Amino acid sequence: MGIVLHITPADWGLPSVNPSCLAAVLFLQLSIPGNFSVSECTNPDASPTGQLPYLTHDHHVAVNFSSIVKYVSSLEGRKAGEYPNANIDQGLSKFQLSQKTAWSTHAETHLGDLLYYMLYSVSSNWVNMTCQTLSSQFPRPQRYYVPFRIRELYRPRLEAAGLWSIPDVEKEPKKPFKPISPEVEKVENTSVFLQAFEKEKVTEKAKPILDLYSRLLKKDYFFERDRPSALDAIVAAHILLLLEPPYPDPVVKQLLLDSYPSLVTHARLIFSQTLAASAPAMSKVLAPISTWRDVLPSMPWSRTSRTRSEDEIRFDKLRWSFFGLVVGSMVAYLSVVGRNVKIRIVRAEDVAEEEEDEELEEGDGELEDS
Amino acid sequence: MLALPTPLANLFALFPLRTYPPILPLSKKPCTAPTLWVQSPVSPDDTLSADVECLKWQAYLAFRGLTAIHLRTDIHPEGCIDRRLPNLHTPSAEIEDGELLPARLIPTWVDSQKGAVDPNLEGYTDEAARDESRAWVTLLEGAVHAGLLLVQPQPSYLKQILAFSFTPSLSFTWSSADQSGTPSSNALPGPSFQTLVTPPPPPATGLTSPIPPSGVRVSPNAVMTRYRDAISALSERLGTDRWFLGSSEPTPLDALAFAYLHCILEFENDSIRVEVSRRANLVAWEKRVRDTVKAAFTVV
Repeated sequence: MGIVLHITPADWGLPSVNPSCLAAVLFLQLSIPGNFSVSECTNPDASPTGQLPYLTHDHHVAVNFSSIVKYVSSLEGRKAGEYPNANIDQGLSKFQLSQKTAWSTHAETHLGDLLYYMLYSVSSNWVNMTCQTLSSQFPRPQRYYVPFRIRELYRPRLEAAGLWSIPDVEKEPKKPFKPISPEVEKVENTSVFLQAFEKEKVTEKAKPILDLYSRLLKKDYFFERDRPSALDAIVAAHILLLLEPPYPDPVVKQLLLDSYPSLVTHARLIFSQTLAASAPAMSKVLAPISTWRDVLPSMPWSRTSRTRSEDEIRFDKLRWSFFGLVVGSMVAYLSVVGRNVKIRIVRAEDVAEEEEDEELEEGDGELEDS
Repeated sequence: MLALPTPLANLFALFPLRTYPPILPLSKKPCTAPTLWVQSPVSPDDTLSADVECLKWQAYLAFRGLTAIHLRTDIHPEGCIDRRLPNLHTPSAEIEDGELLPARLIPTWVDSQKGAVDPNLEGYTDEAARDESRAWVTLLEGAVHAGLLLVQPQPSYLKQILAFSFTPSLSFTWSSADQSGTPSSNALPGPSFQTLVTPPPPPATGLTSPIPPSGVRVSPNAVMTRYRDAISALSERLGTDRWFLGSSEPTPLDALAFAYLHCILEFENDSIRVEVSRRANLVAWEKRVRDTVKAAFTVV
């Protein structure tokens, strides 16, 4: 069993629709191409933290993107020759590594917010694209509720960032002879204005963030290097997910294409190195078939699987044998004591009939007496 | 003249009309110097607030060269603008009671007192440093704050119920996120794990189960790993510099970093304090900056 990366399923021409999963795939393709396999997982609860991606290697499990990067980078030193160039951040000074930590967090937070806004918050994108894609990825009972739960996960975060959009007001079809009331018109117009300004607002928020990265990207890769680092994987994953899906309402996508050609070029460069036809192929592992177990909630006590000591196993055996003895002796006792007891089923009708017979017999006696 | 009937007059005599002297507002003190309303410090004779957000603005004011600022710690967050501490109460010539400013307007006021800083560079050495400061601010407000939130003592269930029934908050909405009683409480539900951790944590009952989702499933290990990485990166970046990012003068980033480092070092929980206290440069920096900030404030 080699290195297996568990990610959310593929769509939109990308190996995963989740930015962290996509970043992990890009990173592994850059660091250990051909030495890992990808497993498409539709049950996030299978992960130790309840989130994808996670990586399993023999007995080691690495959860979330940053610990995957840490674990894979440490492989190079552990087994000589087996994973050459696994540490793609090699050559960065300590100073740059600290900057990389800060920039990675910034990219995950702020580029992430822009992406989540596009995927989950813009209602036309959600209804016509994201919701459909997510539903098609989950098995039958879960596809009806899991996509909405995923959307709800991102809601508090987007609300805090001021990016949760106003829902579309369902417009009634205009009836020709309906009297036009100024109140109704006002409500409809307000929502139209709010939505119009919302796009302006998002563009205003997106510009400073994207400006930062286009200024930071001085050469082909970040940190003015001739090969990519983990930061390139994160930024490219977010930019690719902003570019590739067929957004019905492409606010940020259009902004990227119009004003930030360097970021688009960078993302496409990383794509061609890792995911294009010329790149090293990824092997896929068939995901485990979803069972009824997936539907069960993951409760805190079922998560801890501790190994039991020999004494505990012995005591368990003794306890069960005691219970067996109790039940066995109970059965034996009852069978001895209850030998002479007969069990007869008496129905209410039988009793009533018997009583009637008795009454009849008595009545006959009376008649005879008189 | 129509006289009141005697029995009725006797009855009314049982309830004599008394006029009490007017009650003067107790808290009305003339505002003579700029006064910052903050969450109370850990010890009463200390001048540094125990709340990160308040301390950040204290450090900001001190770094901009303001001195002799008064502190008030007796104000409930719900008495503030935006229901959030800190607020700045400034004496004003036109308005009798002075002017009250929310935290976001403090920089404008400071600019009017001390002259504006270059809005393009914001006090950083160059454009690259200004861009980089954004990344560090995110790191502090995300990874470090999540670490702080993880070890924050949660009020027990019983205490929450008691706090709800006996000391109702001033507002009429009660949310479970309101952590009244903890030293860093602020009236609005502050940042939670759902807004701090990226990607957002799943519900405690799992995503795919048919049970309606409730709770948050935060992995303490993941949060602590990020916190550790953040502190070590911060220490690496400071090096032996006087201020962060090689600035010659303190910047907003320094104010934020000081607020977090001070709160972590004052915290009674070892697991997060040890990460800072074993890095000599951070401890020395915090100690040096603390004296500067302390000197600028006096408790009223």
